[in-house]
Amino acid sequence: MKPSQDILTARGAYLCVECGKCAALCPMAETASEFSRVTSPRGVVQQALRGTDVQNMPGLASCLQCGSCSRTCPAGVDVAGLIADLRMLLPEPVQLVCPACGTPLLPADAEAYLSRAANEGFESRLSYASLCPSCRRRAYARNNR
Amino acid sequence: MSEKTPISRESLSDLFPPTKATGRTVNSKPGIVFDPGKCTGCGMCEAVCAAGGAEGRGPRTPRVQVLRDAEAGTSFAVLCQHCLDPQCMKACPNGALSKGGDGIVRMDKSLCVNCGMCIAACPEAAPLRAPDGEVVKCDLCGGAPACVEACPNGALSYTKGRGSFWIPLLRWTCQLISFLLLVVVFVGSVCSINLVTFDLACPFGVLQNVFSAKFILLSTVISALLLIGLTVLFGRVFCGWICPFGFVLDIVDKIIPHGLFRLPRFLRNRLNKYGVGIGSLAAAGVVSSQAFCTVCPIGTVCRSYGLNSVMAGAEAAIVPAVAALNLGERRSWCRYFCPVGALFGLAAKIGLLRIEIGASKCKKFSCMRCASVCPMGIIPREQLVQGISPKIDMSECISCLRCVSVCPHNAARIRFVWQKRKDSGSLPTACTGCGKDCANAKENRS
Repeated sequence: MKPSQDILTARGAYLCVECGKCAALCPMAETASEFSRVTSPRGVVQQALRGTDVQNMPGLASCLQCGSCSRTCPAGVDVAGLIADLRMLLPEPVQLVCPACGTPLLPADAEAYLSRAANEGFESRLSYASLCPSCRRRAYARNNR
Repeated sequence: MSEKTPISRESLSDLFPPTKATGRTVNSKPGIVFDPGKCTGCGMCEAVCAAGGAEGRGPRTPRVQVLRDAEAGTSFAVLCQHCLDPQCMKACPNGALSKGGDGIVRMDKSLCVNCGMCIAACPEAAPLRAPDGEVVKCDLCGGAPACVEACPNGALSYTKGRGSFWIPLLRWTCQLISFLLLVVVFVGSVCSINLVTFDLACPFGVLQNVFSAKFILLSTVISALLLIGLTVLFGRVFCGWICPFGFVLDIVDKIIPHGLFRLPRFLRNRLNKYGVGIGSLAAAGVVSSQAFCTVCPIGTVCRSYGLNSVMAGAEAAIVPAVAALNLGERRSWCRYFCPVGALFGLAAKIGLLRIEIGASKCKKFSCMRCASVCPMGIIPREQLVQGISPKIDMSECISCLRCVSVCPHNAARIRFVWQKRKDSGSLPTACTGCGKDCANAKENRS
């Protein structure tokens, strides 16, 4: 499915000047399995403006939804919001959700990055990793009272 | 950097030196200890933190969050533990988090892009996300936290994180004295000592004697029961405080590196020592002599290394050979093979002493000093990192009290069976008490 004009207007995609500040800040450079001109936030905006089918946008699945691109954009494009909207058009949900409260969790390749970077040395997969931060705080408090 | 140099990844790393070091070099571990028993959930810590902490430049997003459970009537303050080996630091894609020489984990906001990977990596999710998306994190107010000052109930206390030193002093002295006594003075060794009024004998040696001689000599049983009785009272103190070979291993552990190799998996089974025990008892029955005692490292260290005993050839080679196993894991012999320890382990299982890890002030994943210092390796890191108090199997614990002495938070304790203990926690399941009935909820209730 192609992104509609409404989404592009509402998120200000037409304002993009291709400066690339969003791509420079984007943490996907480390966390995504591949980070390129196309998968960067700027690439997603440009693809959306050209009317690419959402299924051909590889950057959508890896986005962390941190919003650093939206905060830094000098032209005022809400890139993170645009990506969130485009994800809605995908035929299948790209993210797992917290089993307790339904908050979206990290994308799969960011999880892989985490277990590579942080959880090295532990043989079993850590069970807290399947919870969203606020549920994890509650689980930790319950185990330590 | 000159102007002509093109910017490459290498030159960037010169500008921003990599901060992804493992924090293990920092030994001081300041932090705030939270005692859930004293917290009333008043929220003063949140309030002073929002007012700007010690600097007083507020308002800002508080770095501490108080979780209140109205149903259970409990409250819990989630705050950064300033881990010894911080997960967030390793997870940060930009290297914005670093652990200073003072042990405080700080976030460099000029590098941070608020991606939230630190929150995802933290077992407690201690870095907090402000409503505007900014990720904030406690910096201990530079060493004088305002929340600790403000807490009216004393639930928060500041610690510099130092353990006690008199337990190791006592243990090393005790080990040295017993080593000198057993190896130098009584050349006969612990296997059997003839003191003036009573005999002291190795219980496993006596057991072998019974099997080989096929009758029970009551006096030897009584002298064996002395050590067994000591074990029932205080756990395997023989292994940790008296055993001369254990003393040798402890000294060797101080010198040599570990983790150079791993024993094959079937050898790294703690039930092996019971197998060795049964095997040597059977051998004693067949050959009608104490066959294992001739190769027992404890016996050989006593017999062949004393002042007035000759280095007994092949016997003397056993001790360095077995001690070399420590290049793999500390006290490998005691962990997996020692049948004497196995016998003491059976006695300690019904014993009166318990070691409790993870009392209410334990900082679990952020500290794990007990797990790294335990010579028997019985404190599971996997459980600590998930915030669970591990249950210590006393048949494997040698009661050396290293965990007790190293714990800066008073969370590793000696408990006798009649004293109240904290229940060991369950795995944090996905239940948040939503009210719906599911497998997780059942597990959580039980």
